[in-house]
Amino acid sequence: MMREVTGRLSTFGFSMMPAPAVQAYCYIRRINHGEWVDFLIDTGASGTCLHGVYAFDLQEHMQSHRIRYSYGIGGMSCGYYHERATLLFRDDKGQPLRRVITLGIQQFTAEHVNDQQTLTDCLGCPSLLGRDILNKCLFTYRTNPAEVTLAFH
Amino acid sequence: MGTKSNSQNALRSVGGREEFERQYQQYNASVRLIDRDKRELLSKYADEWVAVYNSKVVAHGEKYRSVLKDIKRKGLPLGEVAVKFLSTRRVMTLF
Repeated sequence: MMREVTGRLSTFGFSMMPAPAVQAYCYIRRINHGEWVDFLIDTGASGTCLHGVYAFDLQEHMQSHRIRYSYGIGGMSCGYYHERATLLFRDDKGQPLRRVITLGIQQFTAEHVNDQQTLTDCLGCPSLLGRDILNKCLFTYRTNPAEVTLAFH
Repeated sequence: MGTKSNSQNALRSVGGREEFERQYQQYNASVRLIDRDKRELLSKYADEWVAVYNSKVVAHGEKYRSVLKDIKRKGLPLGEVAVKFLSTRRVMTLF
């Protein structure tokens, strides 16, 4: 039986074209931390990761041995702390739909925080729902009329 | 620790199924409000951080840290507050 999760189109606060988005409750058991995250659905991201304010607030709990370096399309390298996490989506019947993943949490370095404009730009970056989740569902995305759904087996 | 245990802990962390639904409805409405009323919010809070809870702006400011402090000072549940930066920059492209 398929279980559907409905998303929406969002600009994430920026003046840009709307992008597909979905919310999930994100829980990291090691630090007993849970929060709601507004994810941009990104078929280009290999893994789901927290950026911006979500990642910033978790920095004090992160451990350096969990860092892995990833490259973006532009060739920029960025450190991500890897943590086991559970995502709870809300399906269309109002039930929690669980997925356990290895979550990437963006590392904030001195380079990110020492300059106010750079920090603001980094904090505004959306978190990404990547192919670790998308490979296990049917992702439907249409802009007119707006339709964003994730259908899980 | 297995997957099932992780999942149970997650649901326990959010406060159970009813609380999960309540939080989802609240958070979903708050993030949707930022999109829906973006033009109006931009006229009031251009290039500021805006925090929305229960579909109301509960904090705003130019610096994220001060908005975060304000949310904590008001005793609001940080994990349920939608916080976005309302940028007036015309072009923002993500690659």
